[in-house]
Amino acid sequence: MKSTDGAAAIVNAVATAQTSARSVMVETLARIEVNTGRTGAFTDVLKERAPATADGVDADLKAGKKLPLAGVPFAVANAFDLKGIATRAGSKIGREGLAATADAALVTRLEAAGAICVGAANMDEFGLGHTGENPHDGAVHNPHELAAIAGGAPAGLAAAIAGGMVPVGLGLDSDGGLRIAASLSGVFAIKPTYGRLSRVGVFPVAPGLDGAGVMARSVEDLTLAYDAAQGVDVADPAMVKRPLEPVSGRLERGSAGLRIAIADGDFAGAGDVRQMMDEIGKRLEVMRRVTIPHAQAALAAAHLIVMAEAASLHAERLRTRPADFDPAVFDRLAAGSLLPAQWIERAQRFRRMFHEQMLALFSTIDVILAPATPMRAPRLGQKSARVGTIEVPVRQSLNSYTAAFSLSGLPVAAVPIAMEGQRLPLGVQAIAAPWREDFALRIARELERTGLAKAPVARGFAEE
Amino acid sequence: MAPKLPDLDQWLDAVAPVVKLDVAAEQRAGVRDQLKTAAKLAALLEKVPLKDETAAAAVYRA
Repeated sequence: MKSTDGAAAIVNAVATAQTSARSVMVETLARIEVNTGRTGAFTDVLKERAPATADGVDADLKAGKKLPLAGVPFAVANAFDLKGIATRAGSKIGREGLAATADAALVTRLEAAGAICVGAANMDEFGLGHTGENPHDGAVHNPHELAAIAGGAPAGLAAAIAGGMVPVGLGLDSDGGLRIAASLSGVFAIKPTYGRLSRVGVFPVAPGLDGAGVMARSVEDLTLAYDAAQGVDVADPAMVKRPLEPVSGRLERGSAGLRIAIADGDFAGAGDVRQMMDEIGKRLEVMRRVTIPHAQAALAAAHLIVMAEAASLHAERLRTRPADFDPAVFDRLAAGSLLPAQWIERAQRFRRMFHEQMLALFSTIDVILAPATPMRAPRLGQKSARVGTIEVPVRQSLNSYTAAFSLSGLPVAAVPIAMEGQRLPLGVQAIAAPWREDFALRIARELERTGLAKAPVARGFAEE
Repeated sequence: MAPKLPDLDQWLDAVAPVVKLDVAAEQRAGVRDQLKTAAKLAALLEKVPLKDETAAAAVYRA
């Protein structure tokens, strides 16, 4: 049993004593040791804590405890607090701070279910980027093509999963980070409804948009971890009190009975992306097209809100430690400090209207499909890329298809699509109405079942 | 028609001291670029009509 095996397989093997959580952990830590150098995936590895936690899981199982994630190794983006470690959030400033005194709430929740945190993964500084090219910890390399970016902000997490170092992980999605990284690195992700999962102990990007989410290499694994992460946390002011709504038992319904539409207009995509959407439409027999209202304005509103909220969050650090920021992040935050209140207020008012319009769409549709990114993973250091006939800046374009759905706080599954003859994957988003994560994940499962969606461990990583 | 942008240097020089932000000479161009982008996005939002009674959604509740 290895970390390249899925979470469900590990749970089965550990829970039935075919192997031990410690044995899985020893193999996982060895794999991380070998592979983190060439991917830059991890910044902190819990070499002592993780085996000790694994021993606890083995003891609990011997005592008859039922653990839905027994022995499953997982990683977190390094914005998540891990007790005893300073929370970097990709920054130089963060790592010089005090060590966290407790784990982030979701880490505690997954470990209570028998999973074992193995470490923290590299990410863009303060979550403000989509390329994973961190000036302090080094760039994250895409396991499918080492010269390419892994996407971001939670780039290291995506690389750790695509590279078979861990089967699942936790990250943050503000204007698309989790979905962009999943798409470019070829793994599955779920960004739940805003307010569904606790963010306590997670360093924020822009609190009005931030949502914790999960990544994995299969929909079954994704759903196992997502189900375990659910639960009300009164310490998170954005948390909406909902009953537990586990999805695992509903996955196999697939797309049956769901009303599906493909987003057109601004989401039509070009080249490979359009081809992918056409293929998905054929496989799922989707005839209906839908236009997302004011899509460009939604992207604009999300951009302005992130700028302003992040600038406010970092105001003191911008004044006292400007030289310690990634210059590209400083530029964005400094500009965010100077925006007129009227612009932000208008963006927030637009957000209300946009949300209402999206809810109206979902009165006749259950799931909307849209591309996750306008391009495959660009090369590290690449500044611009061709999308159709237009040359676009990489950094500013990667969230073109994700930010609008963040603005409305909708649940979205990111689904990796492997196309014939292409080493680097693309991704599609399955977007559902608030609190219908089950619909989004059922479509992800259906695409997986057709063979169009898959998230294999990257070549060169699987066999080691 | 492209939106008429404000004078970005004037804006930066006027507002940065108000929020006690020191923008070093080498960072000026980058900050100005970001302001330019933000101004274009704000202009795009201005084109979307909003009803007077549409209240801000500062904290989202589904």
